[in-house]
Amino acid sequence: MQKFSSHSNSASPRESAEEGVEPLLRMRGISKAFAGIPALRDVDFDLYAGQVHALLGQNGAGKSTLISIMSGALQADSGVMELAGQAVYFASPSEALASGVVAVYQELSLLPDMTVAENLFLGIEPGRGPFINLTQMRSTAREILDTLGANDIDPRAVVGHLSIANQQLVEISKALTRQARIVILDEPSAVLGSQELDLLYAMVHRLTASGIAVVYITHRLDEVEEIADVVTVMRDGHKVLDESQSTVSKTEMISAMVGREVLLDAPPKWQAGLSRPKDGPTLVVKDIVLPGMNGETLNFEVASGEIIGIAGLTGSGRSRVLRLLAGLEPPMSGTVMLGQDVIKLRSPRSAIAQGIVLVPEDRKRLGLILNQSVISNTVLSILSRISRLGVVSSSDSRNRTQEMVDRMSIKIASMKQEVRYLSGGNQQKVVIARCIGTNPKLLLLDEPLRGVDIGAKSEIVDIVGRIAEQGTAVIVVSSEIEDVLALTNRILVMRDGCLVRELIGDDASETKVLEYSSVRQS
Amino acid sequence: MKSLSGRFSNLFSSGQAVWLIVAGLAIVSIFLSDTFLTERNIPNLLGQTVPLVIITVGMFIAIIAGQIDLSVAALVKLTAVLVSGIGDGEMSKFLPAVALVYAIGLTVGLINSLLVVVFKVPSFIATLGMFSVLEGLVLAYTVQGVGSVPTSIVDFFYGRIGPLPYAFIALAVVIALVFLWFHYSRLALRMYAVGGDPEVARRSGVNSGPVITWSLVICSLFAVTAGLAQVSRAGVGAPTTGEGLELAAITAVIIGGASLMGGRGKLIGAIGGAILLVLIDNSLNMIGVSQYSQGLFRGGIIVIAIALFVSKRGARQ
Repeated sequence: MQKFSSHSNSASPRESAEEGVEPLLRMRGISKAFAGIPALRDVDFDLYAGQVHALLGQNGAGKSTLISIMSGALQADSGVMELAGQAVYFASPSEALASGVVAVYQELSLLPDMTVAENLFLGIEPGRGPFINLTQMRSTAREILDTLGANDIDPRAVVGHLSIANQQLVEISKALTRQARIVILDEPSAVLGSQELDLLYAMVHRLTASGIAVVYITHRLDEVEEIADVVTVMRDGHKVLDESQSTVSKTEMISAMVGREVLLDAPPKWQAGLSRPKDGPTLVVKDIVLPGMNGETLNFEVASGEIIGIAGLTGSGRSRVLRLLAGLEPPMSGTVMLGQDVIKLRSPRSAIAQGIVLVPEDRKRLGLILNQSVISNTVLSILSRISRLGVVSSSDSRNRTQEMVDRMSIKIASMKQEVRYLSGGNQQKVVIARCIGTNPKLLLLDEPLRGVDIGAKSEIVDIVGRIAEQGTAVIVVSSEIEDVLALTNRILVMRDGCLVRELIGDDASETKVLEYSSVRQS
Repeated sequence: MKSLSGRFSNLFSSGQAVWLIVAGLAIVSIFLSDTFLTERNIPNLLGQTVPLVIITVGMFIAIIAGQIDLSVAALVKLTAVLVSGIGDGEMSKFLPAVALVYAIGLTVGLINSLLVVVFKVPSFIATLGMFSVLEGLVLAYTVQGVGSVPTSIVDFFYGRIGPLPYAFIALAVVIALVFLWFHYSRLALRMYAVGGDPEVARRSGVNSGPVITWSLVICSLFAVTAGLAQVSRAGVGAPTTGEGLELAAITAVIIGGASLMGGRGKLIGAIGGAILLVLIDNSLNMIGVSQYSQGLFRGGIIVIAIALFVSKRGARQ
């Protein structure tokens, strides 16, 4: 039984196919578009029983769409799916579930207030008539947990009291109670530490040993080497690479993910070496340790008028650096200085008072009060400056807002328009307008170009460039490396809470950033 | 290391804290009042708990499934005036009237769940509408006390073994059955799931429609039962019977440690909450607190208890 043996010497899918082994799941010509924009274009995908199939690609490459179609959460516009030789169509997750296709997402689908056994058997409780056979439910739960090596999880434990790693084990056990034939793991490692990672690998091996096919989504190429039999790389909705893992190198995977020679329309807004930083306070981050991460100390400087990018995978700590500087999370140790002043990072309010503002990642939830006007949103952070005796001057706030609207060419029907009616790009401009209204010394941008159309993107890039020219230091974080590269060519790459590399000038390329953020350097 | 309030609130969410408060208040009342621990007051107190405990059990089931039912007090009222009015003191008419009100209760529960499940009206709104409709029916039927309950029924309610009224014993039996049902039933497990996270329940293959329907129907049937208990105690049904019971039941569920968002809570706590509310009123009377300042004490005890619970929720995040 060659295909059940350890991954490193198992047959490649091509060889298996030549030997006449049918794929467990065969997808042909799968296409899917959202509002006319194609997310998947004519993708073929073969999944074999007992194999781990790694699925790679950058954000927006089409991985999520593909697994959503596999698991019934989305339906393909065209194309066919065959499960064990039978044509199938999944109209909902429960139909996919019934056929043995189980997706385990990052946000776990467990009920934290219920016990492990109750979670495992929810919807398929053993028993007769209206009653549950509790003894049978617990003993079967015990057996299933044991087959995954989760001997220390009590079926009677309340799920919310378990560690994240154990909750993930429960989630996968839940897949097993439902007679899974295909288990889709969506970035299972993003929330795990390194010891927990070994547990995960062991469990995946147990799954494949029993003939289950595993789709494994990850951004970490080390894991692919460790665990995968087959690698598929997606880019822009296409399948660009589909190989046996043993025959493909990390470099090939990276170049498949990046794909093209990185063609930027324009040089970055700010370029290390070319633009000279203004005279003004320099941000000095010294010996900071991110809370809850076992990283090393972080040290870096940002000069006044300089734009730097921080890149890294989800969970690398890139956004936490911003949260920390914005006063949302206290650091474990270390100091932050802006010029001569030591910054006390206690709350967003004190950060703003000391000249640091954050444009948050989720502007609809954290950045804007959606059902209030453009004016209210623009002047929210400077109310005390434009009010006398507690009364907000309406002429001042109108003038301030008008000034910002002109400066950033925000397209609005009127200043009293509720911001929820604005486009993504214009909403983002309103958030930035409010932030720079406080005359910050340091501007923090988390995913500034997410959900923004292409035209507004270049306008926002220009706006940020102008803000920097006036002497504000800017730090930008994004999961889209391209977006960071549009703004700057000085990039700090983070991995597991550590700064692993500083890339400057020509070194700051999509390929290099991907390489340092997704491959452990020895 | 757990803070004192953290420890207290763990007791709270497990439904134990409310029983400690019940015990504490009972002890205080015994010391402060000569009339509290008497042969007259104790059976009376136990009898008083019956309607509220019944309606609270129903409300608890609705809340666990992520719903709320504001129509229960109006259903108590309708039950009371109908069995009293139609029965008019005669057993031969009383029993069909009981069958009628249970049929009405079933219908009300089904209509509520039709609105919630099929028409996607939030249960808060759907049952608020049902509340108005039922109130209207009551007032269309009578604007004052009407008829009476057969004396044998009233006698049963007040009859007792030692300090325990028959009605209270019957209640204890029903509650024991409900406990067993909660422990072993498939439906109860799914109610917690649907109330806790409907999306997770759906992905696990639980269809929320029947679960919500059952929860609202059971809640209505318990409300009818509470109405029968209430009118049997009073002897006559009136449009004022059961006024405000829905809020009392919701309060009881919440101080019993359950989450108003659904999916979390223990039945034992909700029952303790109902008993606490009855005990507070009885104790304040027995201690001799003026009618006018009773609201202050009642509200104070409830708010402090809930504040302790909420402080834990905040600390966890």
